[in-house]
Amino acid sequence: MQQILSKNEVQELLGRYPNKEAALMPVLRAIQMKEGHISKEAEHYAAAILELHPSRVREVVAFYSMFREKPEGKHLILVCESISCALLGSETILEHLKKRLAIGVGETTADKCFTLETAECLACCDQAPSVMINDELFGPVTPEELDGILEEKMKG
Amino acid sequence: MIVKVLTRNFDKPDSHTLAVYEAGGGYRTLRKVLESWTPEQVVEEVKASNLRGRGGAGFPTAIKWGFVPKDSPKPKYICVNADEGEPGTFKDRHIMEQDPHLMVEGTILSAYAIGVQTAYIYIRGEFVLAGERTEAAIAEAYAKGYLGENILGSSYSLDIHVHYGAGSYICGEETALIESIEGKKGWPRVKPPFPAVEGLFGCPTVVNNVETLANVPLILDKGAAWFAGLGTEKSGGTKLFTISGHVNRPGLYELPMGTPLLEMIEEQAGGVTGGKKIKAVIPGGASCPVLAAHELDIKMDFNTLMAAGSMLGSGGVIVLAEGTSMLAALLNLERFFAHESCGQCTPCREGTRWIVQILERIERGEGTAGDPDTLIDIAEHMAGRTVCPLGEAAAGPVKSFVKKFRDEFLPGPGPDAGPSGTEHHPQVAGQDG
Ligand SMILES: Cc1cc2nc3c(=O)[nH]c(=O)nc-3n(C[C@H](O)[C@H](O)[C@H](O)COP(=O)(O)O)c2cc1C
Ligand code: SF4
Ligand code: FES
Repeated sequence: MQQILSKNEVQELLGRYPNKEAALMPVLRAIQMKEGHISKEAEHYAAAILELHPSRVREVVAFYSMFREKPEGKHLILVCESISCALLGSETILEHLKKRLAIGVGETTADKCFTLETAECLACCDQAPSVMINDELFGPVTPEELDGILEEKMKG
Repeated sequence: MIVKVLTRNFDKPDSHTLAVYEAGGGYRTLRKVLESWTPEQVVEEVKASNLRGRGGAGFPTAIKWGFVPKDSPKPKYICVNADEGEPGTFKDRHIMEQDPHLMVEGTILSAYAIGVQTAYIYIRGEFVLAGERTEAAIAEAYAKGYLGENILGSSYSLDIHVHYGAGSYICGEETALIESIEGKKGWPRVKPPFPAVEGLFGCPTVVNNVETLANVPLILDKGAAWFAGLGTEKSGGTKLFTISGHVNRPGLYELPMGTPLLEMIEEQAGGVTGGKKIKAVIPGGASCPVLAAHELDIKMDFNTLMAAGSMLGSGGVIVLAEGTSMLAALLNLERFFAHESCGQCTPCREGTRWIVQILERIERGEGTAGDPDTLIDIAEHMAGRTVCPLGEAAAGPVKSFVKKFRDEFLPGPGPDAGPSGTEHHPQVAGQDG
């Protein structure tokens, strides 16, 4: 089986908990950071190093929305749809992005540059409507500003 | 009136660093307490301060700590709840980004009071900067001897680990959070046993909110009487309020407990956008029952809001201006709860789904005269019949919205149904998007 994490990385994560099982989420997080998503093989790898039944890993990957089961675009766009952003026009932002990227929610552009997703409150409601692209928060955003941001990302 | 107590470092350059925190007196309290206070004295001081939990329920913090058995042979744990996911709330993220050491020092002091050797900070997975700064603060604290073995030469030792969530609102519920740290899906546990007796890894555990713990260094530095004096008779300290929605200056404001709601909206948040009237306010985050325009002359503290049939919750004030469709707003909230229900109890799983379906039907113009009562009926069957309070949290908005704005849930266009002819259905944003 392919080693995704180094022995040291695994040891460091295991050292935080009194049992191996508890390291499952950080192990999955570390795998995703390396590989971009968590493949079936990676699930088996996590199960093997933590001595868990693969179905336990499956259940956790399926439960948490941030664990991604398939590869996605280079840039992950999250549009906050919760109440404070909705009050300030998140629906317009989402519609604009769908048109602009010609994809639906949960889809990736053909050039694998962008994946579009919706999110629940990103805890920056004072910057509504807000959008998160990879690790970066943007808000309040207008459709025009978003176009500019996407241009930049396409270049970068 | 703004009182900068918890947020006193926020505006300083590099406020997140140890150097700035120490220059402002940081970790002085930890040194004092480890040198001359017993854990019991810490608990007594926090009890006298009237500190109540800032995670939503307002439970007295020292009393919660007191539920942990003193003579248990098992290890004890403290979990810092940094999963902040309640729509309308963004205070804990600010603490972690702008003054993470305040949370770290508060965690160490609280852990000392309870007799804990290992603490976990459960950080929402989406919090990138907050996570980085928290991890950096912990590393700085280790390097300076504020964490680890024999802290500052005392006999007390503590480790703090960060555990990241992965996109699940329900993991903010304390027993779901515990399951999540144990490496499981976030299904809340049936209580009892309560976490104080049997929590993380089957051991006595306290779960406290970030803001709650950030208050502890201040209490032990300046004294319980000072802290109690900042608040109301029943609830000490200031509160971090986050104001969002249709206001001119949305943001985080530190105000005394009991500050009038209208003062907050008018003076701090700069009034309603476009000079409009207020239609309604959700006073404490998405799960708190809505207040209608005539109910806004109210003081913002746990007891007053409870008496008014709502909740202070996490202090997320969401302002809805005239022109907002209450149907669309409630649909938005209920889609959130339906999406975040973990699915293990039927009343919550099915109830939230039915509510969304009925609201969608009304929105399509296919409502019936019986819908408002059906919605209230479903909500009443959810509340109190579930493993965790999410069922109740989803029911509260339904009951309050439908009772207070009944017309908008009846067939026919409501008063704020959006521009007719141009929209298939009203957007939450109403006419001005
Ligand atoms: C569905 C649900 C979500 C919750 N989310 C959070 C949260 O994000 N942050 C938080 O501190 N408490 C949250 N709570 C409250 C916690 O269960 C718990 O009461 C709180 O962390 C206790 O801390 P405190 O006593 O310091 O307030 C949530 C509760 C429920 C029912
Ligand atoms: S009330 Fe809802 S979220 Fe809570 S345990 Fe039951 S199904 Fe899960
Ligand atoms: S509602 Fe969008 S960030 Fe909170």
